[in-house]
Amino acid sequence: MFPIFLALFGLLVAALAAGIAFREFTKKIAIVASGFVLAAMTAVMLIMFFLHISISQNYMYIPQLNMGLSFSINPISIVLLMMSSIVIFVSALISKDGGASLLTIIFEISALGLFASSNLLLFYIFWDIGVIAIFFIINVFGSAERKGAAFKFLVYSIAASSLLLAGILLIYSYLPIHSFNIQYIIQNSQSIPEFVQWLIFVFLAAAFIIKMPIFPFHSWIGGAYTEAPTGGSMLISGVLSKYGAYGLLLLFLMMPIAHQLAGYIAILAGFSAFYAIFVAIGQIDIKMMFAYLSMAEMAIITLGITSFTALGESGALYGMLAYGLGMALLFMIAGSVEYMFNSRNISIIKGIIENSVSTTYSFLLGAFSATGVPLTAGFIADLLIFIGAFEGFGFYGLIPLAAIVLIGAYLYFVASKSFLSSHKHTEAAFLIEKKVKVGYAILLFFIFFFGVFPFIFLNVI
Amino acid sequence: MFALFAVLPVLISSLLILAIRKNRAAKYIALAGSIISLAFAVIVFLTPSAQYSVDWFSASNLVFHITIVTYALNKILLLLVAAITPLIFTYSIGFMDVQREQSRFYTEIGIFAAAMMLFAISGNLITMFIAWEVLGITSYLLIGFWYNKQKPPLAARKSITTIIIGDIFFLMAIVVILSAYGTTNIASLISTAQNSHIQLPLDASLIFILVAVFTKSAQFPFHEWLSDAMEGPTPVSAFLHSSTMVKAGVFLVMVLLPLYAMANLEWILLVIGIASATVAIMNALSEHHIKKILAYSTIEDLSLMLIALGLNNLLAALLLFIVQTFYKALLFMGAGYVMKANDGEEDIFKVYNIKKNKMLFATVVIGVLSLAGVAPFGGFFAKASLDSSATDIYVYAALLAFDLLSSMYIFRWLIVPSGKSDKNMQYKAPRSMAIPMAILAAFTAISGISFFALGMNSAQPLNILDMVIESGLVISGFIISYLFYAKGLLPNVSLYSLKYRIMHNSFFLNIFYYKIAGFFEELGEQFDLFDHSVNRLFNMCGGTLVRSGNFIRKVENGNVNVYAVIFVFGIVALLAVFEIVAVL
Repeated sequence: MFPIFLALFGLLVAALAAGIAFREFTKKIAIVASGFVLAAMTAVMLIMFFLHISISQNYMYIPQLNMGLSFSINPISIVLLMMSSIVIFVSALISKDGGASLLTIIFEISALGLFASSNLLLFYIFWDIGVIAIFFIINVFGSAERKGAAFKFLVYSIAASSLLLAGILLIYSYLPIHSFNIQYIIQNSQSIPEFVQWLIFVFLAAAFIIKMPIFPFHSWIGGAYTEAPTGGSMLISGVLSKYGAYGLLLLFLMMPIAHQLAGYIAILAGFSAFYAIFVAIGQIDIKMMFAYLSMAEMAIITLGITSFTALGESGALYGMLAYGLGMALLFMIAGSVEYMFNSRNISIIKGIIENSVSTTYSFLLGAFSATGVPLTAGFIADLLIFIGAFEGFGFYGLIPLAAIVLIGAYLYFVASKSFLSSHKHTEAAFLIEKKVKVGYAILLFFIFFFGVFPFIFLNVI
Repeated sequence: MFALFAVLPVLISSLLILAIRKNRAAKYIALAGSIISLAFAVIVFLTPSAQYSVDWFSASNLVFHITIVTYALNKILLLLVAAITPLIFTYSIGFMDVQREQSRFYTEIGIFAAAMMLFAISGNLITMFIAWEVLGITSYLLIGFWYNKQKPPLAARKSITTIIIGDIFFLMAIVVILSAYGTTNIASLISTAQNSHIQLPLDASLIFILVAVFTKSAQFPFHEWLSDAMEGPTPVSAFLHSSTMVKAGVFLVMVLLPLYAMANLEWILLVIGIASATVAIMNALSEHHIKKILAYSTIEDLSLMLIALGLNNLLAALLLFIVQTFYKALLFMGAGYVMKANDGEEDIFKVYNIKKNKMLFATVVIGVLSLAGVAPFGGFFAKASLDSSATDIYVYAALLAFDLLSSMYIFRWLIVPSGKSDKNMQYKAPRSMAIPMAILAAFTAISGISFFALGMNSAQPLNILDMVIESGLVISGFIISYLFYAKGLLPNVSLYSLKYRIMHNSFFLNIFYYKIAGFFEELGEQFDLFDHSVNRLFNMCGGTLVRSGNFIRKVENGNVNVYAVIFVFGIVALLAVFEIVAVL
């Protein structure tokens, strides 16, 4: 069984086919390919749940340098693989442009490769493939001010990538046997001198913080999230931001010095959560608002990671799943709203329920997930993250829960103002398409599925 | 496990309504589901207590369970909810007569009912939290049901914002309890807490739970949402105030009462209970809105229950809990009837005379008498037994004052609309609205029996003095109200008078909340400005790079003379550096 090779190869073939041979069918090819990956990942998830196995594949590429292709699907990576294949499938489904679909396939290669790689070099390579794909999605298919936004995104991403590469190379060269293998690094990282560890931690943590983002390296999200097309915003908020969180999780597993420095990251994350939600309150652009909500949620995930408890880390992982799906849903709604009203200004958008009942209720359910209402995946995430945070930091760890209150208060404010209200003067231009409704349904199904059956992942971890 | 069968019919019927979306069939499906639920609830009530637990999921060393228990308290609440649900649904058939709203209404209210039933039988905090949150969000949807009107969305937003604070506090309590004890099962929690001495986490989590309770049961300072929640349809108000939602908070304290006794935190219940009752009574005495007076009276009833729990008198609290369910549902239905008859007019000074409608008047009078605490009705026993359990003189004085004043405002509620003789009410409600009222009136009339059914006549017999004092106060309340409002001794309190404003602002709390909300919005704008400057800072870094590049670029201008000069200076500088290095 070679699920990852197969999936990556299949996607590559699909991308080539879509890009070169059958240009008129690109959208369909993207849907079929990502649907195939989603089905495969679902199968892998069920197999892993019932048989309790991990899958790993290795292929030595440059033996002299101890480099190679090595993938493994373990209980941690399957969560993110599942999440990203769902989000990417929906994103491909609602894509309006063939070119964006092609880039979505390429991004899927990146996401699958990154979350499944058991090797930091591959991690780096797939990370950059993702950045490039997103850059083109924003730059080519975005809205009016896309060029500047894409450029800013690229600058930040290059900074993150170079820090990442520097950190990875430091790890590689200071290990007793040079290696990129994550398992090997986890076992042998205590032999790295403390100062170098410190340096590695700073480099990698900075790279991941830029990607998540956490205050103060968040300036790129304003442009990137808002100017990207709907599918692109979904990919950034759902999947790309999880690259950083997943990397941070790996960093905390790999570097023993993280124990000493976790507190600083936690304080930064706590501050970032409040900062983001307050900035979100100040927004009038619905996509901008969701961008900062996503930032607040990433900060809460970070809190779980930095708690250094098993529960906190499972919670953070579950949070990546729950918030990934939830934010993708919210951005999809923002896209539909923009499509309906031709505006993103929440003081103009009114009476969505009279135009589209499905959008309204999807928003409410998405808000429930974001505020951790039970039976949505968000609840499991919040519960575990905050048990971890309480065990790690005591009562201080519970303070960021206030950010969730603010998130909820603000989301319901928007709900009553824009969604569950009636409009007198504004008229919606269009009705939303059926495939968008299917997209909502898929995301909501999984949000509730993972909220009701959390044991599929958690009992295995 | 069997107790779940009481929850499922309501839940399944409401999901069915959601699935088929047939407006015409919705009410019958919902009613059928609720009646089946009632049948199961009766069976559960008659079967012996049981506990059933199933693993939900595990993470690292913690296992999370879904636990269903049917102890005495759980069975009572389950039966109450199951009994009220079909009555509310029947009433809704008459009240909610707009065809296209039907399936949405019955779906939401069905899930609401199911959540409350699940809450009644849940045996650990996780299961409770699930039901608690579902209650919160369905109440949000129901309060904002008429989204196309002006006020309901705002009321819904206010309620959910308050409730979400409580939810997060509940979550905090669960987190703390889980890390301290490793379990959320209430029975094992009580026994573990007795044997171990982990004081701080227990105290903290109990206080967190109290905050959650005060938000849910609309106690001071979180009571503002409940009177606004009157914007929802009347069947929802009747349901929300009688057996569901607000009762969830009190019920939670009831099942956790041994822990509060252990941690010596009962004084909080007393303080908050008395404060809330005071605020509620002041508001109720000055309010004109027919449903809001009842809403404030609900706050007062809940405060009395919490005071009873604070006095460690579980039976009195339980008695009031049961009795209040019937009379409050009845009074709300009556209020809905009046509003329906007056085309939605809600001011008690403006509605038609209700005395002419014999059926309405008779049922409402029974409800009012029970609420006020007149002798043979349930309210009397509850209040008298509560009075007799007060040990502290101040608490006792407060309780007596509440007896008098609550009788005053509820008789005001009754006397004012039935005083005028010029306008008679012509409207006859459909039978589906009248029958549930008649049934509830019958229940209310005999609700005094529960005093004996709970065994309180032997456990805490009432003494004659308390009964006489209570009755005397209630009667004086009636007389004062009669003199004020029927005989016109007290002129109508205008909505703009100073007196009204003093009585009716809950110590400026509402204004304070709007100030806080405004402050947060202001803060948001400031943060946004700050964020722009962070943005500019990073842009400036980029700009500086570009500018310095442009500056250095000027060197490479193709002018050979400049190159030569730079070359010479470079050589000199290099030599100087070498020289310095050599010297050092």
